[in-house]
Amino acid sequence: MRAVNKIYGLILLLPAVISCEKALLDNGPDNNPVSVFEVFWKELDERYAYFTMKDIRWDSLYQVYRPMINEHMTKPELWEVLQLMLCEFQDGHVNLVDGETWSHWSDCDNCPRYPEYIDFNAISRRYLMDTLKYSGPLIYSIYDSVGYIFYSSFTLDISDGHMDFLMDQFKHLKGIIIDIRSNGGGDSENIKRIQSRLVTTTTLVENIYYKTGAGHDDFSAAQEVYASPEGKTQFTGPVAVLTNRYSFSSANMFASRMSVLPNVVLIGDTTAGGGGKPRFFDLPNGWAVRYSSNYALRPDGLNIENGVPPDFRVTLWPMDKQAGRDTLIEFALSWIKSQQQ
Amino acid sequence: MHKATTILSAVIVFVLLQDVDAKEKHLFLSAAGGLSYVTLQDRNFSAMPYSGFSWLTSLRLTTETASYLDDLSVFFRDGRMVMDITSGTADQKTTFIAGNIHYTHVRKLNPDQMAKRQFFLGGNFNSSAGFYKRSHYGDNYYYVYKSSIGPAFAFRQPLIANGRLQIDGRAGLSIVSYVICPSYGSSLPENILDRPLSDITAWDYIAGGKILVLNKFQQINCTTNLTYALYKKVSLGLTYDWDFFHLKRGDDLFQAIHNAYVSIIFH
Repeated sequence: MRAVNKIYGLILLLPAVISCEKALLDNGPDNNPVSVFEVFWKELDERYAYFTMKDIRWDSLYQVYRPMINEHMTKPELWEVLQLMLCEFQDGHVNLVDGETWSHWSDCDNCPRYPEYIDFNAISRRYLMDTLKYSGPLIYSIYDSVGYIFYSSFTLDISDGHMDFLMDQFKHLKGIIIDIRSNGGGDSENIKRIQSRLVTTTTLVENIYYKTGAGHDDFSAAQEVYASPEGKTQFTGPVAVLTNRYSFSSANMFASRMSVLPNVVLIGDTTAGGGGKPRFFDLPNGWAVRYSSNYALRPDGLNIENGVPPDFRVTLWPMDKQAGRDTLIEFALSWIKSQQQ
Repeated sequence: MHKATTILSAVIVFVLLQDVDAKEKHLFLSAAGGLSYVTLQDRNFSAMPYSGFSWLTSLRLTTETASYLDDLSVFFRDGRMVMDITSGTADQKTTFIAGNIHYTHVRKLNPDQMAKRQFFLGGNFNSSAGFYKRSHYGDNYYYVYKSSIGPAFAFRQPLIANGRLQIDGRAGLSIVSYVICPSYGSSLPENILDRPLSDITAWDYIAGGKILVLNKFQQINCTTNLTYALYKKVSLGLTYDWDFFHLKRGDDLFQAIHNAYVSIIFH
């Protein structure tokens, strides 16, 4: 009986232990529209990387949008207000997320529209010769003694084997064209897998700056990113990277890092930007917000958030389109040939 | 000559003491399985607290002599956590794996074998690592590694006259700790943010931690065991323990773990 009393006593002590923890831990913000808005505004205020660069007056926007929020609004109404606020960032890496539903800057009125300057049918017929050859996710061909690679998305992973195979196919060619037009980005590890086959020495290609505190200008010292040669074969000839206004995020980063190399030119249009690594944070109602958490500079100081300008600004000419040619590819072929002399 | 005799005497006494302890040394090995409930709160991870259950497995080696008690426990957890929300449509599950090693060395304050209630005082060392992967965190794991040392107190008491059922408890505190966790805006520890990306190795992560004392890092752990002797050399144990730590910085980090497990103990 005494033993049982002692056990009961100990069991009664347990809630006291757990209560100590409850007193120390925060329950987290409440799940109501006002609380969701406050968390949304504060988290972005403290962690978004481009307030100063983009001159976003976040305090003022609080005054504009807070009156639109009330405790009784519905979820779709709250979504609309928060989405409108996110349009102010003009940033493709800033999204409101509810499960599979995402808001996009491209849905905003202030998102500019540009021509894509790409006709994949023409590419397929003329330069891929109606035969799609793949090395992993990379569609390739050899046209007029030049290697051509079409990479549709950095979400498709490239392996060392894929690159070794391609470099073996291309090693004796006059040059390589890498087409990343309308490539919306993805895994930045794929950048390294391609670039490591196109450098011969370790080269500084980027500097990354991370947020270190809640202030809009609280950033770390630069973290250097180097491209180093890896793999069985390095291609040392001229390389042309084709870009357009929809080469975004990792594609933008790829264009930037490649443009540092002496044997590489960018041909086409300025890339779409998206220089910050996106991260997520949760909102109290189960939604999440994705945002740019750091910024990157090219070694010459260019902030790649607003895109990387090409070395040669080339558009798709109507007469070429009619003739089934791609002006950008033709220009790249000419440039590569000029490098042989 | 005088010094040599003194040193030799000291050595002989030390060896004899060890011999006395070795004769009375009892070894207990136990294996356990149970559940953990883990809560994590860190704004570098999420603005919302996360909590959830995991499976727990453990191995424990206890050495007891007339004068001290050594306890070495290894734990492994595998589970998932969710946001503490009652509504919401987003899938915010976080999977995690974690493990820790806990070592306690305590000396008996009342080594009288006939004493019903025994008290121990000494120290504890705790080392733990947890890796958390959530659907929206991107490519990188969130992680927390900590090692700490500090004082420990224990007690033991039989609950029934024949000693088959006994209760023992232990509480430990951390005084000095070494902590590695992501920085404010990156999965990298704060100390290595400026190292070239390609040069960063696992060792850099390990070296990127911080040594902290009580004003910046507080950890407490408490354990309560009920042990019932099934046979002479085999016992059954029921254990509850609680581990809580707080890392003080711009955005504080809190973690609380509740473990409940059943163990089989071999003497």
